[in-house]
Amino acid sequence: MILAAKKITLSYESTIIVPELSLLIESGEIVTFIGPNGSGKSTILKALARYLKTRSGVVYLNGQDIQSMSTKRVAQQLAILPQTPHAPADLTVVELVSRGRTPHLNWWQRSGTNDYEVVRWALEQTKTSHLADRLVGTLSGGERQRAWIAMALAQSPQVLLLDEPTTYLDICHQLEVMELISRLNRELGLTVVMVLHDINQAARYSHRLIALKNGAIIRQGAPQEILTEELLTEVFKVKALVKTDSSSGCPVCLPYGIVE
Amino acid sequence: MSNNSVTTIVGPKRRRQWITLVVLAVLAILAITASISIGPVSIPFFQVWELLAKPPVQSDISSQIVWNIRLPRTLVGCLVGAGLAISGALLQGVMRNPLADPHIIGVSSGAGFAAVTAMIVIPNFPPSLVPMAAFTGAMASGILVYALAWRAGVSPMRMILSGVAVSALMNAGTSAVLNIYSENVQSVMSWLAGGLAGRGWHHWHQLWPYILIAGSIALLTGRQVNVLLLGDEMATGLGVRVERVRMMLIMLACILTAAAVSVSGLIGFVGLIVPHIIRLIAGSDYRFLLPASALGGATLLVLADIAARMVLDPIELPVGILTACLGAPFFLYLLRRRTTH
Amino acid sequence: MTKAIKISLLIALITLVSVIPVLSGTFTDESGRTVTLPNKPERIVALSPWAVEILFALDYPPVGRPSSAVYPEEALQVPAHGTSYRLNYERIIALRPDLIIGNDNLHRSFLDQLVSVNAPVLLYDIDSYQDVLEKVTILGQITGQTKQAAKINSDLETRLSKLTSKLPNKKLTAVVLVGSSEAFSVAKGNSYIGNQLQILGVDNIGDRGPEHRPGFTKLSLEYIAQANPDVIFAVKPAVDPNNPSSALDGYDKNPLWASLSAVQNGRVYELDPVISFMNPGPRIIDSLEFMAQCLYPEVFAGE
Repeated sequence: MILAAKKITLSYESTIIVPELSLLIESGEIVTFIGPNGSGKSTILKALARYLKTRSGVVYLNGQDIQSMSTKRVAQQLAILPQTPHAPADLTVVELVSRGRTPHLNWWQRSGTNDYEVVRWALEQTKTSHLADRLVGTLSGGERQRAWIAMALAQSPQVLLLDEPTTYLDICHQLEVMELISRLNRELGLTVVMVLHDINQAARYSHRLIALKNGAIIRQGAPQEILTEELLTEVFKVKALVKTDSSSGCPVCLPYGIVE
Repeated sequence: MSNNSVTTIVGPKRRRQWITLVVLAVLAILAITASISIGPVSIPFFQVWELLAKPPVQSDISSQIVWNIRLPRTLVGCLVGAGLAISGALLQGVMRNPLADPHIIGVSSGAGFAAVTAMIVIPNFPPSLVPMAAFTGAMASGILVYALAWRAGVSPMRMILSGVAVSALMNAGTSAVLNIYSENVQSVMSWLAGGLAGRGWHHWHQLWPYILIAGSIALLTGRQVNVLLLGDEMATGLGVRVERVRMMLIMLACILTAAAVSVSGLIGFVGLIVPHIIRLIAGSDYRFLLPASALGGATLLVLADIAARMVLDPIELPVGILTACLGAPFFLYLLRRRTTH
Repeated sequence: MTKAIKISLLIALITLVSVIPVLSGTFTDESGRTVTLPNKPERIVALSPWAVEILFALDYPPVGRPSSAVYPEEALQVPAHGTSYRLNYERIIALRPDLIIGNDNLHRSFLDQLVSVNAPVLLYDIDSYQDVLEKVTILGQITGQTKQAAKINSDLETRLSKLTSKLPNKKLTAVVLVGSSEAFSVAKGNSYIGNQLQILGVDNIGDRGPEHRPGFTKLSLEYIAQANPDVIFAVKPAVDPNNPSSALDGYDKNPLWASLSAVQNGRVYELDPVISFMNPGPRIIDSLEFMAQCLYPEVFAGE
């Protein structure tokens, strides 16, 4: 168990968003949070990343209380890609990816050969080597996400948290990113925790889904097990057909109406 | 892709940065040389440097001018320009706002208010203590702005708004004092307008410790600022303690600005425009931007000061006018060049 | 000169001299600093026009003047180092001064910067007729021209007593409007110009208002209309010699202006800003004489 939350309560100001939630993430898993807007998906992800402080309860990273670790220590094991990451206009891809080495360097240290090696490797893994001296702002949506993922990879993390990594991309680039994440998980054993809006993408690319509503887990498990028409009605308030794609065995949802 | 190819990709940009630093250093040295050699009283160039080679001679007026008027004035100008430029660069990075400049955090208006109050309201206030009063007012104002913006941390937006509000308050106080005691307005106005006239060795001694220490620390924060530019969430994700780093950077900017303003009054424009000029030339990597801004700021202010005292000789213009006249066209030229690429 | 006047002059001079503690070459100026001049200063740089005027009157011209000091005509021969408001330290130091004389309220905040010039600095203000006599005496002591100083003062006193002896018994009310019609101040008795009204035995309406800055108050035209002074003086600092505008411009835009009896009786006068207001000094007597003519034309007509 690489990441765990034990009865965490999360709030913004005085409003409780997530009351006493517990979950476990196993090493090497791809886990995706699905749920309607306001269900707390991003909030939980931020808490797991130590960006948000829990009102009560503990988050454990590799068995240690995440609050007891320094931000730097956490960043060496866990990388997060927020929803709309922003880079300065004149940043090149290789410079962006180099930022990922920050947790491994003291502020007075200069980048060493090892750091350059990791950056090169990260560019290679994400197939962005040919974009190295392009400005981040001039890349296509898919290329840009790959560059950000390369930066996260440069942190040499064990866990990668992604908040809606495909939301603003066209369908081709969405698949590009999801394929990359899937491959990184397979080849490197990277644990991935994501928030996705597209239920079908989530079903296809995740080992486990966690369905959330109003800050609570409604159901969690393998997509084939939990994605049912009843779940979609209960969590998303939609009427849908759930079919199975025979070649992959993944469930596919086809919504056709709204529940009144 | 070979092991060295990352460095070869980063290489051209790095090289450009280094070249820019060297060019700026050379320009700064030229500006300093010119500033010591040029003045309302004309002293032949070689004589100036002869005089500097030996200690000041009391009876020789040229020696007095070079050693006690031009040299300290130039050195003060260097440090003030560098301090304001570093401060502006830091604040633009911390606030993630290109319009941030050293005067946005209320420090300068606090200095103005304190100085004006000391000079006019308090009877028999010793003039030599005015810079110290200004510094105290500046720091107090900066701390007030930060405290008012605090709410489980300080967001750039709150900081800017707080700075605007406190500045407005301080400026109102200054205006009130000037209105009530308007007989003494003239001498105070020239302090407020800002300039390097009459800045001597005693001003230098009140300035260099702050600029040197705070400036040196600031130059080492380049990597931290780079990460802050990616956003609070991303920066935290990269292991940077955002609130702590932000507080330190704002404090450094505060000290640099307070020291500069307390010695030379309010000189605008340098802190705002120099970092942008540097960015247009060689990018916004703060490990390079900070030292380059320091050199650029020193050069701009020293050159502007030469113009301020020579253009309408014997009348001295406020240096703030000249920094705008010199800096703005250059900036616009660079802006046009960059956008047409 | 009658014996009475001689005696009163003597008393005046002695009072003046004894009021100012003088040890050979040591002076305490109005910024509170005590400065010792080891020798008689040979190269005085003046930062203000009044110092230039008085030094020339003492026949001891300065070696540097501010560009605004243009009286007497010989002053134009003296190099101008800069303006009174923005000092040019390089030029001042190039004049090799061994004494600098300036204004207290204007130049006190420059003391910090004048340190680089490395010459003793004395700062004085002239806010009244008595101040003129006093500063003439002090500058006379500094320059060793005590005889000339005494003569200047006695001439002033003579002309003044001639003036005051003719003042009629009646008490006029008057007001002095200073500045432009959009934002004018009113002079109070403790200002240079208000002091002149006092000497001429006039009830100054400005004395009724609270000081908003030393020597001046702000009164609305309504208040002035209510007080209805017999005589109105207006003065405006001379800004542009090529484009002179009257100090009285713009007041008539206010309908109240026409209702003032001084306006209706044609008792509105514009003062010369230089001698009455901006450059204090021995020419105060010219200003007084002019004001006397305006106030009491029946007595001073054609003088």
